[in-house]
This record gives sequence, structure tokens and C-alpha cells, in this order.
Amino acid sequence: MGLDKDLITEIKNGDRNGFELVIITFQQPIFVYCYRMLSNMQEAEDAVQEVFLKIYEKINNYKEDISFSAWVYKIAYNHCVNQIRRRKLLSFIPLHNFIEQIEDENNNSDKILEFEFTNELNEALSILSMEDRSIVIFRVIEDKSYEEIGLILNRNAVLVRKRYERAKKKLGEHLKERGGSGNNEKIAII
Amino acid sequence: MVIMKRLLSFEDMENGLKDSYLPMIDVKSGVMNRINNDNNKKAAWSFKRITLSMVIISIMLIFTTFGVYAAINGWQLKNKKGDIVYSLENMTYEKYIEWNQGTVEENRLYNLLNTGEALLIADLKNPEYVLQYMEKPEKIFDISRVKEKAGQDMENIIKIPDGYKFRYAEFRYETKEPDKESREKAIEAAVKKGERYVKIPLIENNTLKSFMMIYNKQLGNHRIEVFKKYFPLIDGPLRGYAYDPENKIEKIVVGDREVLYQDKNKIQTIDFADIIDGKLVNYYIIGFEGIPKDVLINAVKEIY
Repeated sequence: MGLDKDLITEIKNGDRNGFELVIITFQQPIFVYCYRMLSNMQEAEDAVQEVFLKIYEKINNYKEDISFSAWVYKIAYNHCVNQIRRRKLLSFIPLHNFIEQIEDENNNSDKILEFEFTNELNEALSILSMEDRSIVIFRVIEDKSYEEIGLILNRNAVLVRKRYERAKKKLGEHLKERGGSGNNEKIAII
Repeated sequence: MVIMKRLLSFEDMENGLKDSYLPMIDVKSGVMNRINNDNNKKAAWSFKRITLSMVIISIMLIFTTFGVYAAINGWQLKNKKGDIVYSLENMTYEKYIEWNQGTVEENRLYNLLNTGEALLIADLKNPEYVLQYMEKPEKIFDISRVKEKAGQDMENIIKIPDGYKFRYAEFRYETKEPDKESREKAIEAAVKKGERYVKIPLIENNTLKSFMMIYNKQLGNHRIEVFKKYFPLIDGPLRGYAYDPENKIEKIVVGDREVLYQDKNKIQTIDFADIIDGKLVNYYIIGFEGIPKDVLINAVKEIY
């Protein structure tokens, strides 16, 4: 997912049409990332808007020592971290576990099932620290290299790899323990 | 019938994250409208104001015991026997700011904890470091394990109302701090190793400090989430603080029960407490997606 360097220069010079292309290119992946970080559909969509406004405001600060994509994700990461911290200030209630329902007027069984599954994914991710959660999301969903993740998070690639392995293990153990002690191996909706 | 395998391994999770459905969004016009707005600066300022006001109308609850009851500026809830079970005080703006500033550092440290850990923790790079007490309770997702862990005495507390689905539970236990000498040794060791944080495990015992169960219910397009918190060691009413300059918190009566109702944006909440088996229990019910007030009120009747 890359954008032409000239396009970035044009945006820096005030080309708003060029910036629309940035939005079109990144809005869905940034939404997926924010949703997995925030576990809330509405907050994730709001976060995407805020992230693009920040990108627009700060685009003159962008330097080509990292890819534009990594820079965009860095802004999204910082925004989500701030959002989660702000949420923690609101209440001791664990808001990060509120899962938005799948938006559909027809609440059919497939939707319920999808909701359950999404719920489980988010709950599992929530046992990780914000940084480790990001590493897993970048690695699994975005298929990013350790080097690129390191650039986004200001970490050494070796450390990122180690933390990814550790998060994988932690999640594996958590899922095994939770699944192993449960009564049902499968969710069945009739 | 649709059958989907449950998450049992990291590989299941990988597949789930890659394959799960999320709706497509389009924020282009929303973002561009905000950028193109001639009064962009003013709009940005207004947005910050709105965000801030959303923050400050939220209730912050700090549960402590109430030794001697005193008249308060806020709200008080009584149970049907007429006992004061819940007291929510108005917080001043200064106190709110002070509280927020304190919690920023605490939240940063909290994120360093693993699930199930109870620690004294400090950032040694902070020249004025203070050891903070932190705990991140273990979540238990299996109701049979919750029953086993809680024991028979807690049967009434654990009971899930009909139509609601159990999600998970959290147990917190009383802890004891290690002695001064052990604490100092742990700090010295962390300094010697050049570590940024000192983490001193707390000694846990088996005395339950609090217990929380989370369950929910889907109602068409709405969802209700219930947080039921049990405080076996608290003697007297629960005490909380709220900063609510817009006065959106409302005391209402549901059946023979006094509750606090709050409506903020798309989230509505009802908060109340009672005594079950001689112990304090706090219910915090949250409605999502603009749930009608009467539906949420009805939930109070259902869950109690």
C-alpha cells in the first residue's frame, strides 16, 4: 500500500484532491486497525476521521525516512492509545470490552454468530497491552514486516519479533485455557 | 444450522482476524468537509469542546467505605428498607482535573501489568517516582469455573437472570505489601540492572475484596450490558464521585428501587446498589445504540 512521492509533495503544497486519494487508500485498513484496538465500531469510525484530520494537519512534518504508510499507522496508533487512555479516565468499568453489535436491522442468525465471533476475537486481544495488541494486528491482519512495525512503534525489529512471539504464546495459552475449560467446542445457532 | 469453530488456538485467531467481516466505511466527505470548512479553526475548537463535555459528564466511581454518613451535595439512593446504600457526590472542577492528572500516570503503569497481577510498580525514570498499587484481575470466561471459585455462599450473587448471557467474571483479593526492607531491595535490584520499572509482587490472600460479573442481552438492534459488582468487605453505603456540570444525572424510582439514570450521547446507563445476603452489590447497566429509557428501566426489573 504505497503512494507516489510526488503525490505527497503535491498534498504538502495544498492539493486537496490528492489528499482524497490518501483517504480512499487508507480508510478501510485504518478502520480495521482502529476497530481491533478500540473494540467499538462507532469509536473506530470516529477515530478514522480524526486520524485523517491529523494526517492533513501534520503532513508537512512527514519526512521520507519512513514509508508514508508507516507514518499513517503511527498516527493511528497514537490516536488509539490516547483514546484508550482517555476512556480509562472516564470510569473503572472496562470499556474496552464493550463490543458493538453488528449494524444490521435484521438480526439474523449469521449476524449473531458473527457478533459472537467478533466478540471473542476482541476479548482475546484485550488481554494484551496496547503495544502488543498493535503488533499482533499489524502482523496478522496487515502482514507487515517486523521492520515496518518497528518504525511505527519506534522499536527495534528484533524486539518487535520477540514481543510478537510472546504475545502469540500468551494468546495461545489464554485461548487454550478458556476453550479447554468450556463446555462447548462449537457455537451453534439454529 | 450454522456452526462455527470457537477460538481454541492462536491459529484460529489468526484466521478469524483475517476473515472476519467488518462493514465498509466512507469518511472521505466527512473529512474533506471539515478540512474545507472556512471556519476550520473554529470548528476544531468546537469539536474539542464537545469532546471535553462528553468526558466531564461521565461518572467516576471510587468505591470506599462510608464510616459516618454526612449530608452531601449529590445523590443518595435508598433501598426498599430505607437504608442509604449508595452515595454519589459532586466533584469540583479542580478535583476533577487533579484526579485526571493523577490517573494519566497510573494508566500508563497499569498497561504494563499482565492479567492476574497485583503489584507495587513505579517508573524509575520519573525523579519523583512513587510506588503505585496496581492490580489487573484475571478474567474467567467459564461460568462453571466461576461457580467453583466463588463457592456456594455466592450463589445468589452469581445467578444470571433469564434471557441474559454470561460473558466473564473478575475476582479481586485482598493483598498485603511486602515489608520495607524487601521493597527497598527490589528497587535497588531494578536500579542495578538498569531497568526502567520496578515491579514488586504483592502477597495475595484468599479474602475476596470484590467480584464482578458481566452479562448481556441483545434486544433487536439494542444491547444491554450489566456489570454486577459485589463488595463483601464494605460496611456502609457505596460512595462514588461524579463530575456533571450539565446535570444529566437523574434520580428515578423503578418499582420500589431508587436508581440513577444518565443519558450521554448514544449510551444510557442506570446505576444502583442494594444489599444481598448482608453484602453490598452495585449494578451498572449500560444500554447501547440509543436504547429507549423505558427498555433500560425494564431491565432493572429483569435483573433484580
